[in-house]
Amino acid sequence: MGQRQLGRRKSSRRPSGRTLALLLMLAFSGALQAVELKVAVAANFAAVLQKLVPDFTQQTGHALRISAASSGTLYAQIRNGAPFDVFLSADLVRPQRLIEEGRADAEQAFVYARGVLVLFAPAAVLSRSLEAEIFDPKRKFLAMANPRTAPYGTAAEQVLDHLHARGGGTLSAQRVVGSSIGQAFQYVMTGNADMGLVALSQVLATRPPVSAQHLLRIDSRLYAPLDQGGVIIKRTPHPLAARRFVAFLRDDAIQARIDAAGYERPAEPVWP
Amino acid sequence: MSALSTLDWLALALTAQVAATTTLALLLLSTPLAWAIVRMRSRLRVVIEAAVALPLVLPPTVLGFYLLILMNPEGALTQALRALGFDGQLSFGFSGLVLASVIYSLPFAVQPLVHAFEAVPRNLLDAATTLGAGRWDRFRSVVIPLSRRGFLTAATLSFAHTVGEFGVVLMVGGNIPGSTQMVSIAIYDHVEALEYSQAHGLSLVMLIFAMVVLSAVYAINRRLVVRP
Amino acid sequence: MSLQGELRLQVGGFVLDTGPFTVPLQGVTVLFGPSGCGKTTLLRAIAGLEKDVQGRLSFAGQHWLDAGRAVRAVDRRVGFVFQGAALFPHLNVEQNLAYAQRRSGGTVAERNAVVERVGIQPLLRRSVAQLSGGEAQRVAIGRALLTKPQLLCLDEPLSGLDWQARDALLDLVDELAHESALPILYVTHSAAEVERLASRVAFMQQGRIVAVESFQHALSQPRSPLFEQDGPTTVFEGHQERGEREDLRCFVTHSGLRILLPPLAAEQRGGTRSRLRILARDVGVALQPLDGISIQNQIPARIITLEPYRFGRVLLSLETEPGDRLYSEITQLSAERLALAPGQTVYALVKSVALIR
Repeated sequence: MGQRQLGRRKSSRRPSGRTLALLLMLAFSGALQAVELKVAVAANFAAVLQKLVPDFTQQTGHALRISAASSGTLYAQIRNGAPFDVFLSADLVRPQRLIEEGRADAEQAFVYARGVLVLFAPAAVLSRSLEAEIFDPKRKFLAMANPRTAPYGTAAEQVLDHLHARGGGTLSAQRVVGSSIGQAFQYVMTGNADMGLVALSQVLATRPPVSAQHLLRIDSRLYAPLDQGGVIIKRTPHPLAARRFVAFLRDDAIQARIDAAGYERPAEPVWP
Repeated sequence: MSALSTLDWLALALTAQVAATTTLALLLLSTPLAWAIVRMRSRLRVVIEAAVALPLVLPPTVLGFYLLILMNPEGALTQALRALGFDGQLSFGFSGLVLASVIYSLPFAVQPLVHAFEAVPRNLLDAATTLGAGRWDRFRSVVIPLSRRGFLTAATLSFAHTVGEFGVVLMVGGNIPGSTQMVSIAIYDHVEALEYSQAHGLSLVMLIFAMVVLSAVYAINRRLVVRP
Repeated sequence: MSLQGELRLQVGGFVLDTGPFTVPLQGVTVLFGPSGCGKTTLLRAIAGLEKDVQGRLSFAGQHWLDAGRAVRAVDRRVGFVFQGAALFPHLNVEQNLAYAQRRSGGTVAERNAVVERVGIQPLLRRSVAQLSGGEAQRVAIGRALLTKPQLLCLDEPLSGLDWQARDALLDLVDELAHESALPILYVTHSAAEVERLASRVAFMQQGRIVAVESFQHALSQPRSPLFEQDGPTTVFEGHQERGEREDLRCFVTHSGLRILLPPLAAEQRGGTRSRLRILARDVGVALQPLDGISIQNQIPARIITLEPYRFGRVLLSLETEPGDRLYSEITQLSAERLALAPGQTVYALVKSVALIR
């Protein structure tokens, strides 16, 4: 039913006095009236976004309400009518799906961050090469996210495959697989796994701060980019405020702060 | 069943093994615990009963997270076990799976036993006392035989709950195929990877197995009812 | 040889505070009192089944409770028969008996003897659920005896039973008391059971032992709590004899008084019963012997006391033979018309008697 309605609206889109008036009204109401934007955000980015809220509110007067969950969960919720205005996914697949299903606009899709994979071993000093560290026979468990279900897991597997293909050794540690990158990180943080292929943003968010010597940044050529895409949901009652939010996220100063939180600045978005 | 791989069969075997060990451990642990709860007159009883029920409150993955903290290889628990001759690591291994399952299923074993023990008429215990039975004797000769159904329920629930648990064993086990991957996780992985025929096959085997075990238990239970 | 002590105990809102008491360890001592007066709690405290009992208790010189130190219930060797029998439902009758016998170190021969004694031979293979109330109490008594007790406690063992079962069980308890030297403590709120069994009565009221009296002494108090339900009652002890006619029997009291028995009463238990109960309200008086009346027992007696009783009635205490007392309850009006006074000789007309033992 929703599909049909969207279709009809699309076909009747032509410049008209009514549309103009509506846009003007919206523009004014947007400028004059503060709204509350509901943002669905992938769990790995939620903490970063939370810190940006005061800046956004200060700049625009709008409030943000953040709902964090796994991208898959949020995607399913949006499909089932959850009233979100903007969706910030942990990958590009789900935003793409929403676009294909007519629930989000392709023109307004954007990449807001690119994840960085690191080798993290809180109890060791990682001074050698990646191969030497990861294939070290003394290491017992390597934590990673599930390659079948989580983007960081896929990336971790790609790294291991590359290393094996290069012939740098074999993994002697046992892989322990978390259902999400969050779980994989918990394996390492609780000391049960002695190392893990995890997200840089997770390590940087840890308090007290983790010393850089426990980290080894992984060459980004060893895995497909972990681009995190966002879309504006078509049904939003606040399209102007949503656009302001997207522009805010892509602003240089804000992008710099996102980088500092453990992400890389995305190049041109690579949509699958 | 040709759809099932060696790893799937390993997952089944592991699940049966973990569930059986957990059930046994739970009965050994819950019996004195439930008896202590029933005999307790102080307000402490409320606190202990609540503590036993806590695993029901915490989401399994959260409980799993705390269990991971508890099982840290350098942590107090592992160190204490090492002093007793345990070498190795609790998490990502069989012992960790059993420990986690024991904690997670504790209320399912303790509560039926508490109810069963409470239903033992006081005057039968008094009668046993006047007939010369000491504390342990009374428990063995009166409480246990009169609580057979409670024990059966506790064992059934512990077993079934352990077979079916997911979140905690996923966290604590680390999903190592052939080693700590239990059936529920194997099925989940198959579903996530769109390997539906394997998921169906494994689910079917698990359901048949559970059906057989539970039917047997309820058949025994019926016999216990008939005999007063 | 006595059970002496002074026990204090609080159970919920109820306070047991017996005051000092001494109970001779011989025959049947009945703990008598209204419901809720603490009889059962006292019995349980004596058996060691209650926790946190304060005070002191000694049994035939053994200190069961003294200065906060209590002998465990298991070590007191008290046989206990519970209200409702408390047989183990997971064991059959024989296993219930064996439970007690093994733990007291008794032999199977001893067990067989007890089975024989309490008459439960045919029940041995039955499950407990298949027993009638009376049968269950018989088994419970047998089980208690198998602990080789030095004291037997029975807590309202007849409650919930029909009159035939009551009668048979009272006989059993009575016989046990007479056959062995085993002292018995028996809790009841029924005066009829007291009259049937008691060697002495411990009266209880609101958690306190008010008095411990011999049975006969208790009966000599017209306002005894025993009489609250049926009014004053006379109980004669004696034996039965053949009467003047072949088909009639009479009861001869210890003091030699002969009372003609109605045929039905005489048939009970083959004429061996030795207690005769007469309710005061079943006894009238006449100034001279009466002819042309159905009442056969007309006993010459002297009025000892004459006192107003409840509901406009007068209670006469009559001496039939030296030392014997017979109560008669008549109306105030009758007493005035007959101008009755202490010292006067009258004829007691006994309308009804019951052999109770």
